[in-house]
Amino acid sequence: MTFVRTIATAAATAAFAAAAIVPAADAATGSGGQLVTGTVLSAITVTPTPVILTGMSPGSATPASGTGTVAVTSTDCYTLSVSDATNNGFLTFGSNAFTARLQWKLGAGTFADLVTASTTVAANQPVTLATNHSISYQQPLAGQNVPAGAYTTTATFTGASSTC
Amino acid sequence: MLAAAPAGAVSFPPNTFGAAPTARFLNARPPATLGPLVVSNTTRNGYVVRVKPVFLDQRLDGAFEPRLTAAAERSAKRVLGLSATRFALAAGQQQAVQVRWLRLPKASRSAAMAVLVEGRQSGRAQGGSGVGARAVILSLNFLQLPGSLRGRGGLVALRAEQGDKRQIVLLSRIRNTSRELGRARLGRVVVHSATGRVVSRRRWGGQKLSLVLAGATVDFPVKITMRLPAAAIALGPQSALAANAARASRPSRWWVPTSYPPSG
Repeated sequence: MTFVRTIATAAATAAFAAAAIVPAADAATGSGGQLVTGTVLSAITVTPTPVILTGMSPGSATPASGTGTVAVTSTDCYTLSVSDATNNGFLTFGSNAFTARLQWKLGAGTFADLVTASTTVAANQPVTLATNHSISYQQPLAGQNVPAGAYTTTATFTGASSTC
Repeated sequence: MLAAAPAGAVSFPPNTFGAAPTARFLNARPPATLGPLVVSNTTRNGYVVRVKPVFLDQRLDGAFEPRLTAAAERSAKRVLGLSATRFALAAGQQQAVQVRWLRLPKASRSAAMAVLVEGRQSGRAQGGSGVGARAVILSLNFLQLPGSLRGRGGLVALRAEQGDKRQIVLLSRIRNTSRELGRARLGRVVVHSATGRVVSRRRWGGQKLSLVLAGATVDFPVKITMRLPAAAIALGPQSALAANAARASRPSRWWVPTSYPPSG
């Protein structure tokens, strides 16, 4: 048996650094040295790709599926989330819609329904020059009785800095 | 490798849609200028971009998310002013959006805000049934008045859960009981054996974004990957831990018996 002891001071002092960017200190030195300073600007990019679903045969026991990527670069640790505020995860074509939600998963994870509420895809990820998150989708087709058409919805991927 | 950019522009990686800066902390009195938010499109497609100020909420895992109710969005516009809210970005283009801190919400000395940047590829033909993609970036803005603001709160629970194989994750739950922003710091997790020997000692918190928003509760994880003596997991009663929440701003100590998970 082991025991864990945790110690924490109050959540919180709100002692934030001033936002002003302070210039580097005077570069002059007695030996004529030259201070070389390079500032990395903070930036984050989130670039998802649209995905075409294959195997859209109504009533099929096998779900339609497709895979895409969300490329992220970030100078801070970050968290990536997914949501569908427009259709709540239901593929639609005009006024027609599936009654089973589109499902997604990250890499080798397990499928989860795509919903309006934002769901974490990858939390507290490290700083990255380029990370491709592989996102797979599947649309259950069994029992789905829908007219022919190109059914779509939109997955919104949100990236924001977070703690590591 | 970064894409070529005009003089004075921010360089972004090729084939990306992004924004800079990621986060900023302003300790000042409004009105104040925060400086530009740069939105970039280095892909080969055009983007339609919408930009709006939002208040931030925080999930248990610490992730920030925008508060998107109509009332909250109206209030957010009174706190942050933007020089542009909707524009098109052709391939390889950038757009600077000026951000101005107008005021704080009533009776507040701080505000957790973001500029939400939403990008949608324009004119992309859909080849069949499928899933469209929309990118949203939150450029975080933590605003506070000068002075020694102090959020209040503390550790309310500690629990252990299975991480990856041979990994146990100890989650220290911090609740900010005040109306102000707070930063978790000086967190320590010490693992003792039954005989009292220190097996592992880890620190957490104190990072730039180890923030706990007003009223929020966040779990700060510490991953233990070393082999611990085998035994069944036995966590202490959570309610007893939560009862200690009132002991804010003092170091708090709790003991939670645990062990390496059987599946490890």
